[in-house]
Amino acid sequence: MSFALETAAHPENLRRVAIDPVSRVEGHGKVTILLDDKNKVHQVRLHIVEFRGFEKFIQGRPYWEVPVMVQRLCGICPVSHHLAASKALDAIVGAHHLTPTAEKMRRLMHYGQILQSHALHFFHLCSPDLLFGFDSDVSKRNIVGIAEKHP
Amino acid sequence: MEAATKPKLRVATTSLAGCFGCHMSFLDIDERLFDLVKLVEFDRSPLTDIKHCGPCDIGIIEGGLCNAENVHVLREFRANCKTLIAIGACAVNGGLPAQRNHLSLASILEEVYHAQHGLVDGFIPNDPELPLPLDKVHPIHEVVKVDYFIPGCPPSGDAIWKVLTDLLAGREPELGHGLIHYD
Repeated sequence: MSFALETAAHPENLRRVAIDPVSRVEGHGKVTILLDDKNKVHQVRLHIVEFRGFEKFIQGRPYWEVPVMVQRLCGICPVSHHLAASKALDAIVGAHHLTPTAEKMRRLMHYGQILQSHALHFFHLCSPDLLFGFDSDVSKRNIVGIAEKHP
Repeated sequence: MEAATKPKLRVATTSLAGCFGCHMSFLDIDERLFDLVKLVEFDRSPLTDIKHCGPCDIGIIEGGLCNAENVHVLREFRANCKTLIAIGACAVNGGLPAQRNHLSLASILEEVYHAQHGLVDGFIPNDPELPLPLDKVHPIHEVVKVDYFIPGCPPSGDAIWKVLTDLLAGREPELGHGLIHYD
C-alpha cells in the first residue's frame, strides 16, 4: 500500500525539513518533510531509526527469560511487551485457559500501563505545546515551564 | 542553597540505544523533580524540545551505541558536557541490545525484515535518512571518556537522585547500600 505523500516524484529539487529527534512521542523517531519553492509539501516520512534485533537474539534463550527480556524493548510500555510474550508462552506451554485470578491480574497490569503511559504522553510531552503554543519559547516549553505557569 | 543568586547548572539527557526505561526511572524521583529544577535547568532532553546539546555542566546518557547516529550524539554530549554520566546497563556495558553481538548483523536484518515467518514482500530498509547500524553494540566508554557510571536495568530513581544531589552539592557521588544493583 502506498500513500500520496509517501514518495515525492522528484525529491532532488526539494527543500528538506527534519524534525530530529521527535520529542513529542514516546520512543526514538525522526520526521522528514520535502517542500517545493512555494512551500507545498511533496513528501512526509516518519523514520524509525532504532534497530536492535530482539526478534533474532531472543531465539535460543530459555523460554522463561523471554517475557523479562522483551520488557527492555520499551521502558515506557514494558508491561505490554511482558504480557504479549507471556501470552505467546501460554500457547507454547499449552496453557489454554488462564485462571480467573491470572486473567484479572493481567488486566489490572494493562490498565496500570495505559494510565501511566497516557499520563506521561499528555502531561510531560504534549501539554507544553498545547498550553504554551507550538511557536512559544523553546526554553520554557517543557514540563518545568508548565509547573511554573500552570501548577 | 541560594538558588536565586547562584546560576543554575545545565543538564542534558538523551537515550541512545536504550529503551527510555532509565528516563522513566529518573522521573520516578517524582516531586523531587521540582527541588531539582531550583538548581538546574534542562538543555537537550526528551523532556524538552531542544534538538542539540549546548554547553552543559552535566550530561546523562542512557543506552549504548547501536548505530552511527548514536555515536554522533554521544560525541556532541561529550564535547559539551563537563561531567558525563552513563546511566543503566546499556550505557554501562551495552546491556540487552549487545546480545546481538555474537550474531552477524546481516543475518539479523535478513531474518527480521525479509525471511521472518509472516512477512510479505519484506525488504531490508536502506533509506539514506536511516542511520547505519553498527556491526556490534558498544558501551559508551569505548568511544568517549565517562566520568560516572550508574548501573541497573534500570537504576532506581533514588540512585539517580543520590548521584545528582551529590554532584550538585560538590561531593563525590557514592551509591550506598541498596542503591547499587545490576538487574
